[in-house]
Amino acid sequence: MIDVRNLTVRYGDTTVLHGVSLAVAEGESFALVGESGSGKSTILKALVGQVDDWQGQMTLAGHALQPGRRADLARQVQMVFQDPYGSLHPRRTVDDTLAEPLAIHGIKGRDARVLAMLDAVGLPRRFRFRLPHQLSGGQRQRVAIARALMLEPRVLLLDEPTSALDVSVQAEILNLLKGLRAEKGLTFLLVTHDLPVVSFLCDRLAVLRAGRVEEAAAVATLRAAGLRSAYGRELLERSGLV
Amino acid sequence: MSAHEMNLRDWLTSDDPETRMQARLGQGFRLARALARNPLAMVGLVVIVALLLIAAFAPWLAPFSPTEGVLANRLQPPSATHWMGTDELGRDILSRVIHGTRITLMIVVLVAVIAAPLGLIMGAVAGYFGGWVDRLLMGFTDIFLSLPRLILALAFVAALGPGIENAVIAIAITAWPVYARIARAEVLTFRNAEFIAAVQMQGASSWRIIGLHVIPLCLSSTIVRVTLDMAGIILTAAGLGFLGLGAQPPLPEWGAMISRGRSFILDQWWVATMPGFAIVIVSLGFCLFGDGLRDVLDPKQRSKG
Repeated sequence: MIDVRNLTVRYGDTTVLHGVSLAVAEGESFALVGESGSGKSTILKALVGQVDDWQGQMTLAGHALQPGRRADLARQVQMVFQDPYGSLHPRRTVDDTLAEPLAIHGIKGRDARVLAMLDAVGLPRRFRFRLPHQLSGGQRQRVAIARALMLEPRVLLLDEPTSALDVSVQAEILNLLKGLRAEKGLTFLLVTHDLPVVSFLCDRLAVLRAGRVEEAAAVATLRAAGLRSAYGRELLERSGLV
Repeated sequence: MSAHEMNLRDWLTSDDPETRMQARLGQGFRLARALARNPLAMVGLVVIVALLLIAAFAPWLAPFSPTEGVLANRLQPPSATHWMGTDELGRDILSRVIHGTRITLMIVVLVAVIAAPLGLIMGAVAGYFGGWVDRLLMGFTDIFLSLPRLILALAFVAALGPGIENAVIAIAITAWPVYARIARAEVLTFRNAEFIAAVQMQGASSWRIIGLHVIPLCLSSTIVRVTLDMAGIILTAAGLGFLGLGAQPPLPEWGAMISRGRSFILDQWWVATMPGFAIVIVSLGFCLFGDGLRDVLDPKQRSKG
């Protein structure tokens, strides 16, 4: 479903990614783990065309991507951002936000779809005409997830979807994501620095450090604290999983 | 009655509106309520509403004709018949000031209708696209911005010929660059925000993003700025009128009236002073209202103290 080969990204003179390769199968949930600055978010940005200047090969849902050209893959891939406070338009109601992708693609039956999606992400229907500032962080993140799912994509890119939320709310959102994935057969590519999240939500993971993949492993290895690379063990120790 | 009012208020301020309409009305109600708490803004609003009403009913409100006078009555001081006195052609100054509201209002509305959308679109496009589009549009804007407004307006009127329509065009041409600059600066603050990235990812065209997502966020600061600028526009129009390049006689334009009254300012002070009062009151009204509007719409810019 996602195939990245030898991806190199430079911001000016600094090389952020050094020939990163990874492959995610359909229906799989894959995690990119690393500290901030390790380049994990850059991979997502390159995949959705937010970063133009990259080298290598990337295939997404069967479409080869070209640098500098935004592929029209809106109905295949969508993204959930880290900060639920910055990812919703401050002047648009929940309804506006959810109906917008349908309007862009000329999809009919907007009212029914919006209501069905509110139910699917566990938001009460009475929130439909609220503005973002009338919602809590967890509720906003539910709206962001709902927005990403409006076009029924097959791949969902998750950029630290819970790190800006309260611990209790994090669990709710993770459960929601897990449920949605099972229900809709989604492929996840998750970026995080939180190993327990990986262990809960993912099948496989890759450890990134300074723009290189240190190690790729199945989540069972992570649960057994069996990461081989020195950096992987360091991460394990820091998150208290050893 | 009062129970019904309470219900309406609850309905408007409900946190869980049931329809799009209720959500919009609720937002409008919150805005109006915040504005009503600011006494100075309400004074400004009263002045603006009075200007609108006087302009609408000018022929019925004015006791005399604004253009025809009785020469025997020339330069009469304010009295019971002529509340503001008469000018050098024996015309009733009150009637002229009342009819002048129409000209002032027309100038203000036309300038706002031409300049604000032009500036807003220029600024939003420049800010959103960045790169060479930004440099080109902002370079163009800076050329206009670097020239003094009145001088530029004078040059345009001189080229186009004197008259109220040309004055409007000249003022509009000199007014838009400020709105373009403000809109661009505003767009840059959220240009890379995730809600813009999200809508790009949904496959929206750039024009859709600018029109539906970017411009609505710049709208409130532009409205505030236009309201605050109204005073300046009125003064520029009056200035052009004063220099004989705006409204032409016998049109009762306030600036032109002051210009005519200048010759008698020492002995017949009311000829120049009365339209001057009108300009001051209307300008002040727009300023106060604009200030209040800014406090409500643009809390970040709120004046301190």
